[in-house]
Amino acid sequence: MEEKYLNHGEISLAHYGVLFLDELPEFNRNTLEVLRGPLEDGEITIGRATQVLTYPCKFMLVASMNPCPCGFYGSDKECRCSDESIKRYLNKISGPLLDRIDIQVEVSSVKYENLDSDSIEESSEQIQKRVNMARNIQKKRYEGLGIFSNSELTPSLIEKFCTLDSTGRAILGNAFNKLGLSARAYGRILKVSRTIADLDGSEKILDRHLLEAVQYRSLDKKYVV
Amino acid sequence: MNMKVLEKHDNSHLRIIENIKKGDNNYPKMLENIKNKPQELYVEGNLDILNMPSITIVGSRNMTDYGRDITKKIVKELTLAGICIVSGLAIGIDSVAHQTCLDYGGKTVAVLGCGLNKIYPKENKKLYKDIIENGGCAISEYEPDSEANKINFPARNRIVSGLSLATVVVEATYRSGTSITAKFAFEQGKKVFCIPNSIGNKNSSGTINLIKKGAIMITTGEEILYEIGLIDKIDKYGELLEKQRLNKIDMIEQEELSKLDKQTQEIYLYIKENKIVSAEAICNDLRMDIKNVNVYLTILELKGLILNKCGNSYVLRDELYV
Repeated sequence: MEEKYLNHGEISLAHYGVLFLDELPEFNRNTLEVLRGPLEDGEITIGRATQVLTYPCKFMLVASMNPCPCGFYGSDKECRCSDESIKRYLNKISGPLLDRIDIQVEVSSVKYENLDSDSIEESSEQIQKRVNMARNIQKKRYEGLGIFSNSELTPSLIEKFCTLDSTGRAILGNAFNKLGLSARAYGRILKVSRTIADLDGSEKILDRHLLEAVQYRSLDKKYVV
Repeated sequence: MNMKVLEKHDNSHLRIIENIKKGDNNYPKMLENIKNKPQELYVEGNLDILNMPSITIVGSRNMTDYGRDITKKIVKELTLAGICIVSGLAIGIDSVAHQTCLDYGGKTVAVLGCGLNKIYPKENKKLYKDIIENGGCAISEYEPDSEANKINFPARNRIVSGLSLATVVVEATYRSGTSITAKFAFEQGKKVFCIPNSIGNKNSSGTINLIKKGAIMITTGEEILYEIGLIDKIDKYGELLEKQRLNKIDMIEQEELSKLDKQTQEIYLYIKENKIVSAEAICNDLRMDIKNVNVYLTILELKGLILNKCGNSYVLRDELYV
């Protein structure tokens, strides 16, 4: 039986919030592909026989995944997966979807003896302060443009706000040639380096911001035969 | 007499598959003396390389990272020494062997267990094309339109081992096609070389069994060349190569490193010392901020000094962990 009302789904519920998908490749591929449009447009249109509705869904997508079905690929423990099964697993996330994920970071498993390590850690309060500061910078910068943050920058706005000097352009060119980054990663890297610069309180995108941003495309440059 | 069979390749350009019968002039010399030698062969590509000194590299379809790295290393060494690489175009070790040989400008022979028009596995169609276009060749004893059939694959392995001077087994389980190839090599009176592997490893039961049966354990390409008599002194050749390699690394190191700032140098030396490290380990051990570590790592990557491996780890570019 057709539902009487078209209810909003998870992504609309996450409007102005975070949508967290744990174990990303375990989701149905079609479900994941549906995310592409909303991620780009910030709204979703649902059409059924009775009505067509558009819900807003400006959400931040956060997802986690294992490097392979058994989870041990690249770690100290022995991975039980074959090359084919790893490829099949990673292929569940399409290139276009991966391109829409700005920051990709690999983390290694924590060893028992490091569980309470003495490494210096920033407290949540400190982090909040930094993030708020960066957000305020962005709010001010984009006043009157109808956007609030770097992630919403359109290609033309990227050109305006994410300008690089000649060394910066050389670094980026070098990164694309040497690390095999996809052309679609270009805008992503610029946006992320803009944010890193904001967190740093820097008006310009400096070389070090760009270099740090390149490091956050780990799935792009991953080399698997 | 040779018969030329013309077949279309992806409906684009013509390809030539040559039919060679037993007793023909261009029947591969290496196959003359094997048991059950094929009555006829279908060959596409450069036939001349069938008489080049060649080595067979075979291994598991389910290779491990270790298997991949060591195959690359050995094939690279053999290719640079002018050896032709023979393998079976299967996925896994076979593909890596063919691909690495092509990467270093070598010639490689793919032996198929099906017709040359029905390339199996399908994902290796591009590799097949690359092999032909780069002066290599593909060979099969089945008619070009024969479908892939599992029962033909073991028999194909006698050609895989037969075409070369010796066979190298990288990774294999106890009962596998790779073990069959090694068995044929033994029967044909050829040397079999195995790469050592931990006895608990999933792909080691086959190689360890072969070593017990008389296969020779090797760790470098030079050792193979020495064992089959292509070079007369192992340490000289090996030492020379190693010296050249170290010299080259030293030169790049000194040149590139001097241009970098102190902290980047420190990270490079840390990776060099620990072989394989994560970004977190660098932060913890060198007391650096992850923000800065990421910057320095990118600089090192762009300079071509280090590689980012799967699993958040970094290694020196020239230092495979074997």
